[in-house]
Amino acid sequence: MGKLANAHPGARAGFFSNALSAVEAMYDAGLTDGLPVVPPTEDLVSEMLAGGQWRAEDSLLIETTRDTEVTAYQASVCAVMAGARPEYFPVIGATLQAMSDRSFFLHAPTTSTGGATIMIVVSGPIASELGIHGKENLFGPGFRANATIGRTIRLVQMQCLSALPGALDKSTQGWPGKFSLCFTEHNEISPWEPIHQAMGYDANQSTVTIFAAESGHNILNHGASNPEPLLATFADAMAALGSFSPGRSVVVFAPEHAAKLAKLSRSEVQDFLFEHAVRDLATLKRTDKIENDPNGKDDWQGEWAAAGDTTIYPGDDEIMVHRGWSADDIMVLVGGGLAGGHSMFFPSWSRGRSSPFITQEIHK
Amino acid sequence: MSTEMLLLDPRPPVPEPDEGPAERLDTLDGAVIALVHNGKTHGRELMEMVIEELKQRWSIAGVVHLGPPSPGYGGDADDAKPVAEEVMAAISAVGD
Repeated sequence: MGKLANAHPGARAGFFSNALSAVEAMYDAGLTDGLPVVPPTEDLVSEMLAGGQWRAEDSLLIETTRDTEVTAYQASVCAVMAGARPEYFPVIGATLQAMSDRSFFLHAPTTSTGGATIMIVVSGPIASELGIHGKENLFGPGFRANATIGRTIRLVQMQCLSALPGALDKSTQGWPGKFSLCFTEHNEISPWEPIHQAMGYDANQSTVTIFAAESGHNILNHGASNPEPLLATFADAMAALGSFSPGRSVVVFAPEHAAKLAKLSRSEVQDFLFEHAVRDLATLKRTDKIENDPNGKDDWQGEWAAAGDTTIYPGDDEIMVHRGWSADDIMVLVGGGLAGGHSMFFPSWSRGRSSPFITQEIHK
Repeated sequence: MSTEMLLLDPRPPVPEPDEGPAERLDTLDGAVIALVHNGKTHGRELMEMVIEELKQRWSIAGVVHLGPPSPGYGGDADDAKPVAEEVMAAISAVGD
């Protein structure tokens, strides 16, 4: 038994007749997200740790609600199990550090009935260096970095934060993005600068931005050739009652859609979406989307919100309520294949204000 | 032919509880009770209904409310500590 196994509890030795029997042992131990995992041997975990800048005992994640810490050792075991390569580990570590930000309230989207995933947007040169994909099928299968970085984060939540379905993870339904949701932008085709540069980072820096995302909504429009009708389609989807909230949004424009917006700046697109992703107050009251909630005043903006009054008054149909609090609550990205008018809108977790975008620089 | 393989485990050790369960009360007569709601819509109102029911059975000396400002806020031990020192029993609920 080597140094890592001696220093950390829970290592299990076993005789396995073949690789599959080791995989089955991981199932038997409950160490899986449902898919087979790579058996985390000491050599593989050591190699994973060496891919980052941390010592095994360094803390990468602090979850303050339950006062739980995740060390680089624990994260590296999960990364091996997920099938990640050691060179991905700096991205994984930065993601976990971002999740430690107190304002993110990690415990809430990890455990909530809303069933959020941790969206991971990697920006900067490391994305292409690692093969993080931002083109065809960027949210789907086929790309090791996308699949295994996000899967590592889910395994950390399940195994290190005890967020097992039905126990601490109370997702009513969940969604497949909880296996992994990691991607980058299609920068070669985007009319706008990479998102990390829009945030003030240099081109040669790399960042990860996280967001507690609920299931993505496909936004289909093959007919619009001008920005206004195209963006109106997006605003309509963002204002759908089923996902309407004061929370933030991520919109990933397909290249075909982005090309039609090329004359607009990113902030002009954000402004349009914020201005038009609205519902009238009467409709929100009629559908009980404005709940008589004493906490509501902290979420919904407007003089009417503080009262938490669900009575419909004359004029309520002319009061427009926005999705989010400002245009900055809408993150605008470009991703996907060259063909097709299919973009994606990701609403935030929860019916409330919920978790913010958190960005962390990646250091190799 | 089988191969010996040492597999590492990412899970934290199960922590030993600092203390055992709190002493149980024989009666709620004279008790100060904390009502801990989870910040969800109508959570506090639900707890109010519970205390009204309890008041019909016991002579409750006082009620202290505790709950996060929103469901997204997980709570803080520093907030709970003074309440824990003041109350003799606490009632919480899980729901959505």
